Amino acid sequence: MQVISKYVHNDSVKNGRSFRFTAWFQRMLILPVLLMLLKSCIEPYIAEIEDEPELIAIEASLIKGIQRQRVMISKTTPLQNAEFVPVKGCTVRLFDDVDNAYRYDEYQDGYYILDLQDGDLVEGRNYQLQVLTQGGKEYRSKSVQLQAGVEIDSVYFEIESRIESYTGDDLEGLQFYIDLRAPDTISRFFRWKLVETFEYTSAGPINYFYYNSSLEPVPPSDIWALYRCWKTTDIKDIYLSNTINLIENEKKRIPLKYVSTESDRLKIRYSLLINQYSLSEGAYNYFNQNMVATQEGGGLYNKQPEQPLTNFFNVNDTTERVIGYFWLSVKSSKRIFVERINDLDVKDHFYPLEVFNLEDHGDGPFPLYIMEDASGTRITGSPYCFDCTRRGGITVRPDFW
Amino acid sequence: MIILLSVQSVGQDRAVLKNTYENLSFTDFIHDAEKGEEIKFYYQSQWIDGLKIQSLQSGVAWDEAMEQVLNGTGLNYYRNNNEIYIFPGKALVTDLPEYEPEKDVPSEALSGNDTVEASTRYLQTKSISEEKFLTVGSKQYADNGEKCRIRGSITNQNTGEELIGATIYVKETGSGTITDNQGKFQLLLPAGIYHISIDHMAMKNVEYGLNVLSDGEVTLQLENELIEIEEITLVNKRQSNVEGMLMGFERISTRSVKEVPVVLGEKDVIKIAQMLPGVQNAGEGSSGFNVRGGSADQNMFYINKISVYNTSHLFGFFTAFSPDIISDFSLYKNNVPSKYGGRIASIFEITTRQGNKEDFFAQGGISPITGHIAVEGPVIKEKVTFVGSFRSTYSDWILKRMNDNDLRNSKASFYDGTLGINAEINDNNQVKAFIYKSSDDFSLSVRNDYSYSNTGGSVSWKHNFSSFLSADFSVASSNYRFSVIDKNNISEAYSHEYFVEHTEARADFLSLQLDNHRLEFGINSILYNLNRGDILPYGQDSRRIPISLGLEQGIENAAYLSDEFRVLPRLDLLFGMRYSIYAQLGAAEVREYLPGLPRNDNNFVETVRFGRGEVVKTYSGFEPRAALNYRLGSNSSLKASYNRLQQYIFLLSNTVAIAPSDQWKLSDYHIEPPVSDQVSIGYYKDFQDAGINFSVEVYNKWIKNVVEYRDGADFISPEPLETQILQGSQDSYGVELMVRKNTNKLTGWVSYSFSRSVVQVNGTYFEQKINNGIPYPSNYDKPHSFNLVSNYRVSRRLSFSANVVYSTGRPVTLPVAAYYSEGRPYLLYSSRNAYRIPDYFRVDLSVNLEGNLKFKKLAHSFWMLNVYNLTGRNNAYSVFYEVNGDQINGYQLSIFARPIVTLSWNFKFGNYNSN
Repeated sequence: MQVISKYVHNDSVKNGRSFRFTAWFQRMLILPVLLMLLKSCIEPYIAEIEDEPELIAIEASLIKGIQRQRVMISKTTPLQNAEFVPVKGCTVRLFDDVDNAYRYDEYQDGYYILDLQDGDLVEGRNYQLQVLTQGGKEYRSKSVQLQAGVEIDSVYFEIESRIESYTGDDLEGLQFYIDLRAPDTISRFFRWKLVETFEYTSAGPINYFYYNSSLEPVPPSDIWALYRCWKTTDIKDIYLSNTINLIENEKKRIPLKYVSTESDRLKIRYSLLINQYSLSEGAYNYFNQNMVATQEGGGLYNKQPEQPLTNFFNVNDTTERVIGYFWLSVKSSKRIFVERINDLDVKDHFYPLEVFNLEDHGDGPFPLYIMEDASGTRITGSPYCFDCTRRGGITVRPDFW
Repeated sequence: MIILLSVQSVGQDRAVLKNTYENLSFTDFIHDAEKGEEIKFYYQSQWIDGLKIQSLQSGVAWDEAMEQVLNGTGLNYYRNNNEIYIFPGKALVTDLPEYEPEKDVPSEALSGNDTVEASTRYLQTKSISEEKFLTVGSKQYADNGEKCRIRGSITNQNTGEELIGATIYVKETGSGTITDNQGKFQLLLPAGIYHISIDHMAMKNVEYGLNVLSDGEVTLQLENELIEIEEITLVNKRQSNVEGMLMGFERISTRSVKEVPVVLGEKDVIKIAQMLPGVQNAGEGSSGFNVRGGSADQNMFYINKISVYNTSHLFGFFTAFSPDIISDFSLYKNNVPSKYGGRIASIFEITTRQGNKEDFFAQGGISPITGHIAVEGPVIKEKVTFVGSFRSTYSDWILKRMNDNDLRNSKASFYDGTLGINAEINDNNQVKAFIYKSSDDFSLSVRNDYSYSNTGGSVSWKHNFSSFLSADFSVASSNYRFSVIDKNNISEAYSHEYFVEHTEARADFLSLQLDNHRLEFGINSILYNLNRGDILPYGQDSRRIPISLGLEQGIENAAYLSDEFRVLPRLDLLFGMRYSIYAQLGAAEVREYLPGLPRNDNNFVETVRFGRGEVVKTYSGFEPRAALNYRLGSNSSLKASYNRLQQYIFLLSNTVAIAPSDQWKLSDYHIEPPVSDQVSIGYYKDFQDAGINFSVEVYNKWIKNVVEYRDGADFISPEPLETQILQGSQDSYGVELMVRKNTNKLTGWVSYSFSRSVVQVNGTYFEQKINNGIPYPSNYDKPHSFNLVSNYRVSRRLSFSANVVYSTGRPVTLPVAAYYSEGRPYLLYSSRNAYRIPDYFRVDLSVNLEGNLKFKKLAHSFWMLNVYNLTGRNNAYSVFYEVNGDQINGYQLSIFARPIVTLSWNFKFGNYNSN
């Protein structure tokens, strides 16, 4: 079978979310030297890193606006096999400043949950988290106040082109922006978490399968069953902004996600759910340092990476380095939809389809997906082309769609 | 070659021939005469080839005999007792030699018959040429047993400018000296005959016979090295590094490095300086350099006494000095002369061409990036000259023609220009004026606009009070300004204009004392005037809070005295003392904090206001300088030095490379000036015959109050700077080895240095520490560094040059562990600078072709084919990590990741000889 690795996962393309000074500069210099005499490049690099001692990392937030609060406790790992290494069997408790105490349940290894009622989280109240490990260590967060949030003002997008760092090509896509409008009484630090959903289809209906070399056609119960999918993904990039330099607590055109036409996200319908959180300055700095350290390398004028300052500490040994930040916020959400934009040149990312023939396809692999066109020609191809769930989506239409 | 003899009063006896000579060649005659007579000839054999002796009778006076023999041959002679010097007679002395009688000598002493006769005879010949012979003083004043003091000066015959740093080496004693910054030198020798050789990096090496009779003066003129003869030596042709007090010092002429391969065909003195031992840079395309582990703002750049605060074009890819007008540059890494201060790592001094006194001359060139031209010539012949230069890029023009939107909306342009006037009013007064301007302007798409410029001017007056005392008075003023417009977010868009002005007045005196003391003393004063600027909203939609970063004024005064003298025949000592006092001047508002506690809002006490001109804070200190030179033999010496330097202005920069928006800032009420103490010991050996200099230097430097920044420092925020700055200590040490070959076809240098540089910021409180108070390598700590700079001359027209550059990668802070949060990995970083980027290695090559070498041609061409990074190695500029989805990816960024080939064309218009 012919395999053409043409399908490009958008995630593997290093997209130019932040404007890359270096990319610009490289091209700048290329020009005077018309023959492309000089070229800078960004290439993979793996440093030899010595093993570091394991540290405890506590991911903990208290969000007003959701019922189930989560705490994840893990250990640091070497870089080359980064994974979630749970710290099991901890006792996790939440205290507020009016003598309420709550205990989390361990839902999965290292994953602790607490279901709160709306009245349990009160703006202006202080909360503190306690973690007792099986080994008898006690970690506490500093006492943190729940501050008011604000509704999202407006979210919109513009068609922009970006230089892909890898290919150097200009690609069109949608740049989403948010406008912020908040009263002076609330925090000037904000974070956004995004969830995207998009609709896509496979190459066509599956008229029947071949399950083995007997090439017995087996019709599916619904030839369109694997045709239309919706894929929902938590966007893991960190979006932050602040208004400390501004007169009012308002800011326009804060860039959020850039969706390039390289993916098929924009082919039919695209939706972005924006969750807005107001932050304390400490939490903002913590996330900002993490963002800089993981998203914004590669400039000419880089600063030293900063060590994010935690608000957890080991009660019995304050010198122990603990990772994580206990942050509280009031969440507000907004969802927007983008219908197909005809002006946009959305790329196709399918393996090529082929006309079925015994020589190439008769020996499998099975099952083979067969689509018949109007003239009865049998067309086959990679399962990715026929089964939309292979690309991560589900066939159930989301209720908000 | 013209030599002016200051004193020519030689006692001549009427020596006669003892034997008769007939029908033999002049060569044989000399051979026989040197055996049979008490006579010695000095000559070059090619001059006397084919010359015949008809008949010379015994009893004839030698003078008559020589006149008879040489009549009509074009040769001339000069006799000094039993020595006869023969030379071609075509170059004539046009002036009468100068003679300054010593004041305490009665004038009738001059009237001796012999003297008059000999002088007359000498003056009649009016020519001393290729076989150079000098007589100093006169017999009348010769004081047997006492050493004679010879004071001299060396100038460029072609342009008349005095030659600084020329080496005078006396073969018989194995000792020598170097001309000072006014081209003057002094020798102490017992009366007698010596052979001296004079070397200057850009000039033809000459040798003289020297007949020392008594104290006296000589003025020597050296000729430019002509391509027709041998030209192109990479560095100092045969400069002694054994003599003198200088260590940790490099002087290089642009002429001598014109064939060194360079990136994109732009000759660049700073890029060449970076190949000297002890000099590093943050990475390709970063501006400035780092000397012995110090940050880039610890170097002072002067061009003709004008201080330059930003030496780069286009972010640092090029240097803001047009190479056409640079005569040479000097770099003091340690043992900084007492007259300099104000920066703790180095002083980088650029001297421009003085202008041709005789003819107009132009040179210039075209490279892929710029076009440049320099013009010079006399305004009043022999008296007043001018030099002007201009260089500009044309990349902007190309950008405008691009299809790409981002690029069409971008621009990048720069230019620099100079104009200098030199007037030699008379022998004792010389006035120079110089102006300098460099400017950069660029915008990145529609997001950021940057522009910056240096503007400066200087006037100096050199005056000789007597032959013992001379002085140099100068006033220079320069400013550096930049403007930034940030349009990344319309609500937050801002503009920022920054300005710093440095006005310096100096009076530097040099006194050469009879007993071999060389005294330097003087005063200088610098007035700093800064406007850190306002952050103002830019555009209608910007809601930026306007911030005034404030005005700053400061004055730095200094006085110094240094004395260099010979205590023992082999031992020279230098003691210098500089006292500097700096005052921060109002108007100012100073925030007071609780003493000893971290400076933050919690510990804020009150604001104290100072009126305009009021002294806010004073810092002062003695800066001792000491050095010794002990000569182990005629060709080797041991030197040691100690010096202290203080710095009252620094650059706010928390990036590894200097960014175009970094601001200079004065020491103030809270921020103390950095102080460095450096000790170094060196061993120097010259292999005169092979033209090789070897040196090894060991140094250790301690800096206190080195400026560092706490995490998240933001220099355009309203947060007071003192809350963002931390001061610590730095310890740098290393060994630098260098071998230079200065003569023959292969020239260049090889250097290796081992160096370390470690910073510690360890205050009492957590907020006052960096890296938890544990010492960490500075950003410029590159332990091993190797440089090879070489030039091989195949023929007079063709040469090849090659560089090999290696250094350990600079330190970097890397992620060492990961953890998962919110379903994705996060990174945990190492302690500061615990890792290194990959080692740097680069080979460059250039082929240099001169146009034809006809001397009288109107224009001369010089083609240079450059290959930068011949092996195409991807040298890392930086290493960084990103998290993409679930993946942790490490990347390295390389700036010049393939060989860069450029062809540049340079021309000289007018007298080739001028350069």
